[in-house]
Amino acid sequence: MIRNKITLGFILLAFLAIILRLFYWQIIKGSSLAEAASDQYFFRLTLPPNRGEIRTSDGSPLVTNKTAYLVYAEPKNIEDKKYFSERVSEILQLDKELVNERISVENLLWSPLKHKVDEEIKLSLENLGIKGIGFEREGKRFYPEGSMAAHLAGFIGNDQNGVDTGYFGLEGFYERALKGKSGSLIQEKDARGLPIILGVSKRIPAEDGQILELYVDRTIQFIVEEKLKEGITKYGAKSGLVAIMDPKSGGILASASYPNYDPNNYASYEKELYTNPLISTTYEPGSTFKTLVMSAALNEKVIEPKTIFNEEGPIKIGEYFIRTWNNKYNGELTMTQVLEKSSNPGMVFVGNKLGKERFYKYIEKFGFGNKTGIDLEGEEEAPLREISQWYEIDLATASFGQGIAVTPIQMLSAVSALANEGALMEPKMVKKMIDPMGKVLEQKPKKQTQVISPSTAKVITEMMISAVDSGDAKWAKPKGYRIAGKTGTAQIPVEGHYDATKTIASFIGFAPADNPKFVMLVLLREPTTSPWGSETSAPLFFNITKELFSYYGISPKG
Amino acid sequence: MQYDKEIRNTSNQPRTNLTRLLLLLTGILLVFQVVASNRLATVGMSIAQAELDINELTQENNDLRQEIASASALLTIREKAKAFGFTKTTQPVYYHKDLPVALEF
Repeated sequence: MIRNKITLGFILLAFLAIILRLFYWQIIKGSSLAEAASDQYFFRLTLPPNRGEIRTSDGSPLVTNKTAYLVYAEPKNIEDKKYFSERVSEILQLDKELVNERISVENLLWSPLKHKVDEEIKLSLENLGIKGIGFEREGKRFYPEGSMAAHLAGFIGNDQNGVDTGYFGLEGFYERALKGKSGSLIQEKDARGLPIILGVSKRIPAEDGQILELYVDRTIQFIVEEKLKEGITKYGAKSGLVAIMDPKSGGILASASYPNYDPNNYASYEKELYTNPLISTTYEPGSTFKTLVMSAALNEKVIEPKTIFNEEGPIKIGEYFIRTWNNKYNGELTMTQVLEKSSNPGMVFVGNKLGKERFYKYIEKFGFGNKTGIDLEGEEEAPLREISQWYEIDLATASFGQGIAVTPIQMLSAVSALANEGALMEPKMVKKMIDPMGKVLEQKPKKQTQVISPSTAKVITEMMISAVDSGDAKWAKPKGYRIAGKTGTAQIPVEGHYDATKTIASFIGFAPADNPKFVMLVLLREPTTSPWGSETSAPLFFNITKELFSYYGISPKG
Repeated sequence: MQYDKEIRNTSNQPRTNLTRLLLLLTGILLVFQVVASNRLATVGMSIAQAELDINELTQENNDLRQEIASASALLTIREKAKAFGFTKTTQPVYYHKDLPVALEF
């Protein structure tokens, strides 16, 4: 009897043990086991999105995507590790020791060697005919026009997590819109790994990035790049910039800076080249600034085009003397002639007529001291000194564009207001955004403020036409066209004083003056053939203008 | 007695026929089940193949688009134009003609 009870006791204990064990595996460990099991009978895949293209105004791709490969090694299948390391490292341009290290780890099934490898290199590796090498397709950013518009486009690099991220230019500014959203696929599969039609299936499609269509005209961009390179060589400049804007919409039609870089190979270039001088560098605008000061004074009616200034000698401000650029004095000048002769004393007269408060108000209205809001990553503000810190000499020098720092885009936008009946437009790169479904989102031109009246804009335009027709650069101007513009030669400040030998030579203007199709800024840093804008930037400006007239089919009058 | 036996035999016949019919139906449905399951398995293979084909064609399209983008780059076009003997126009010629009276407005 007792033996029966003991036996029953053992059986019950055994059952209890089994129940406890079952409880452990089914309840406590149940979810982790189900997850592990689901890896065997569920197929999971992340669906990567395609990054959005960036297109010029004619729909041509400035930035697109191409197929590239992840090259990986399968160490267990490699027959001769030494030969593998030597040949593969040579083709992939990797350190041989690094490759050797990656394929020598024990029990490793798979080891990545290099990402974003091009088709040609993949073919070279396949032609080796060696075992233990594999390829997985992945996308890579491609800039078919090479270094053209590099500063506008930006490039794709890796962030700290190794994820593709846009830097600088449009790639940086529109990173969120361009990158899209990954999708996912969960599919129940059979023992052979094939999908089960009536099994569990969940698909969230990837959302491709948006396509950006720019104001940039591919042909004009090409012309500008070619002419700028020629100009820098011809005038022996250290660097240069040309930017063209449509004054009515604020759209950037072209912008080139040199030296530049190729976004396809950005890592081979110095980091200093990545920043776009159009938006990230400042300079003293010099005499080109006179057009804005003059327009402000006209708008305030403190002067008229025929107001007379007697240029009899240098003007003394405190301990300083304001002289003409050639130290020659022309006697009585109208305001139009002040611009034609680019008279610094004449502009001091205009600045004094305007007064410090109104002068400051207008340069703020023209957009200086703040970002323009252009849709490019890396824009600098170039803040103005507080008005309380302005002295008499500051007003005087600012009247002819020295002692004040601006960015090229600020200068271009401000003069565009003169060409656009006094209305300041927000500069813009992107005209339209197209989502993956084909829905188009137009980015309407944005008027920021009315700086001067349309009638004042007409008057200053005529004065600028006169400055071109009668000024120092008249010899370079194409005949039969009305072009409004102004030369500028600004000395470069170096450690608290101006370097007499180094200048920034510039020219800014718009054409055809009566119905402007474009506003253009040409800037050459430290030209060596001549320091003067009238002998370097101005002829380059007119050279490009001739091409644009031909491109737009604008014929000369008479 | 014989009469009773006959009556008993006759009363079982409809039930036997129904059983046979049900057995036949079950058999047919079983066969259909096997055939359908087999087809599902092969359809899974077709789907996998179709998805592979779609991916390949998408990739091919992407590759072709990239080739078109490279071939139509302005630098490439300029080099090809030079190779074909085209030269740059140096000076456009403009012809001016007086408009007919009817078009002057």
